[in-house]
Amino acid sequence: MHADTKQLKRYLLGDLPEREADAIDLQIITDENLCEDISLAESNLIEDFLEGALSADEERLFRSNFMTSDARREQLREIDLIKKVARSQAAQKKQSEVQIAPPAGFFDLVKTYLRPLALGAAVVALLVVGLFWFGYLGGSSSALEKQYAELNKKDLGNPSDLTVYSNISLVPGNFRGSDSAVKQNEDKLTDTVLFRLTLPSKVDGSTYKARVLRGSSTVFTLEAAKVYQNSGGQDVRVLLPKSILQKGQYQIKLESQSGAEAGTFAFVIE
Amino acid sequence: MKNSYELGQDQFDALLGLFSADRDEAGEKYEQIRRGLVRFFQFKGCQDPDTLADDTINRVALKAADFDPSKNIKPVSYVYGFASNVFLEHRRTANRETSLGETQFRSPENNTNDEPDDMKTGCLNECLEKLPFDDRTLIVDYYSLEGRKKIELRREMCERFHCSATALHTKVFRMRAGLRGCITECVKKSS
Repeated sequence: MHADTKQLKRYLLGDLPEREADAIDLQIITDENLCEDISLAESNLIEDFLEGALSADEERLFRSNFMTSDARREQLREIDLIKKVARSQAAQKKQSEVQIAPPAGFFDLVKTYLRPLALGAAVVALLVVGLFWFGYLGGSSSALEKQYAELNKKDLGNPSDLTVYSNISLVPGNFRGSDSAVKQNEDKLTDTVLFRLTLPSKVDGSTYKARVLRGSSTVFTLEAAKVYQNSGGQDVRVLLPKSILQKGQYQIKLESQSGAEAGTFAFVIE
Repeated sequence: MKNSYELGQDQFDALLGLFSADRDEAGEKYEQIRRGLVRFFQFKGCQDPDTLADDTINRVALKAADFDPSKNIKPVSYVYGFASNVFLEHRRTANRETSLGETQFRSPENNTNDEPDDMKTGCLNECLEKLPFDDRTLIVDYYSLEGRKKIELRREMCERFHCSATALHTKVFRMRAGLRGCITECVKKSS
């Protein structure tokens, strides 16, 4: 029988009845596997202390019964430092995060379509939809990947050509919590969706392999996504079919052609 | 077998006899129990778990000849009885030393001032940069939030990596160990 989290917290604080504490003591001596659970409980307790989440009694016990060795004092300093730096980096990342551009309104779209250049793009979009249906009815996802590989060979450098697509802009990073993850409503997506993936600094390459993952499963692969210059640096632009995006959490992983990871981009379809 | 030289051969034989009649098996069990004792003192927050484990083993060895197997007491429980006493004595001594004026650890507001904070922060940033991108993201994410949001984020991370909270923490714990070494090197170079 393994102790639960609350019981381990009380054990570490020296706040368990003697009989229960004895049972855990004996488990520690005989069961090496319990170490990882207690190590987690130790870290959680330190974090609770640093976050001011302990009650007055718990804080008193923390000081008198837990913080009793140099190893634990060092652990507290280490976690405190990492938390401060992590919070600071997360705040910087959030500040620089480009928000999703909302899809244009109806009249804006009408105006856009009246422009000859954009009209051309609209025709391309219709072709894409046609190709998508062709691939879909053919029942082969690799056919769809091939069609989109062709589509992504086009120059996506001219912003006015891209207004026909719903646009999701992402910066590298994993999910930061349900409140802060980049989200897009499924109903607002066009049949082809443009993803702009901001490249971290110090990455090389003119094309990248892009893999779209839902959970741990790869749902779509694009072998050669192109890099474009923007005012702030570089981004990779990828056109993807809406059909692969159902409600859920996704990641796009970029890899250089040599196989080196260039970034992971997370988003949620609602 | 650390500190066994302090025991006579008879005492050491009696100690091994506690664990098994077979000498090899007894040796293995002895090592397992010693490692268990080190863990016990470590998780009790003792300053020097190895020394206290050896102290316990020595005390057990001195009394091992008195162990009565007919009383149906498991050897590990017998050893634990000694370990508890060693721990209580250690805690009394440690409390006395603390009350004599040993420095208490400080509150979270000012507990990181032993070394220049900027230097360590700079070194940590530098060391994080050296991590593979996904590892860096993982550890920064893991420690970026507080309270309920932190709990939710870690739950999401567990779901995404298909692992338990313990396994996720173990991964982060190992990364921290790597960062610790890197920061120590960096601080040495910088000072």
